[in-house]
Amino acid sequence: MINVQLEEGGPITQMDESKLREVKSIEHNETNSVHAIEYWLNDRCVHRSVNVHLKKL
Amino acid sequence: MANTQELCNSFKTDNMAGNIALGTDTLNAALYLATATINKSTTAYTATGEVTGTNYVAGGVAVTTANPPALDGDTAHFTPSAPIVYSNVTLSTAFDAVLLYRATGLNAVSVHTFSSQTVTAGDFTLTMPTDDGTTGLIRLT
Repeated sequence: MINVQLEEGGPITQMDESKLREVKSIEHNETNSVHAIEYWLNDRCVHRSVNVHLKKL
Repeated sequence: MANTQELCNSFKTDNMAGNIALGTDTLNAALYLATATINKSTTAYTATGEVTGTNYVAGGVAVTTANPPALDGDTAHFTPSAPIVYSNVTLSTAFDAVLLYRATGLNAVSVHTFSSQTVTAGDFTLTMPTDDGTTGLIRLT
């Protein structure tokens, strides 16, 4: 189960992720690297978590 | 307008004047919209341009600073000792910066930028680099 928001401004609820489409992305640049995971229900992203790995100033 | 990754100028004088003790003072971390202007000239936490959204509290979250500053060769370094986590938030408007600041006094410390992000019913986590003189998050040489 993961947290989801099925409509903009709506409550955060939970849903079985097996019913959703998972999309992962990774991006690297000079100051950080970003890992994002999204879960989509049809054409709506209902969950998006992001991990930014900071680098030195 | 844009956010720029920098050590805040006011931190340099606060540091020399003994107004901020990294590793001892409580630091907070606030997130800023991509349309905000947070940079080396920022002297204190401001709510202007800060993100808003479900489960995000104005002012951000506390930073874990268990490790005091240390010296590695000629370089002093300091890095928060744990990831900074905003849990179960929805932040629908793009944001791209975090301001570290002293919880008491709101003195600005540093601005760290990343590519524009949104979060939906999820966690936003800032993971820290290795705390040494080469990769530490904040370094003074």
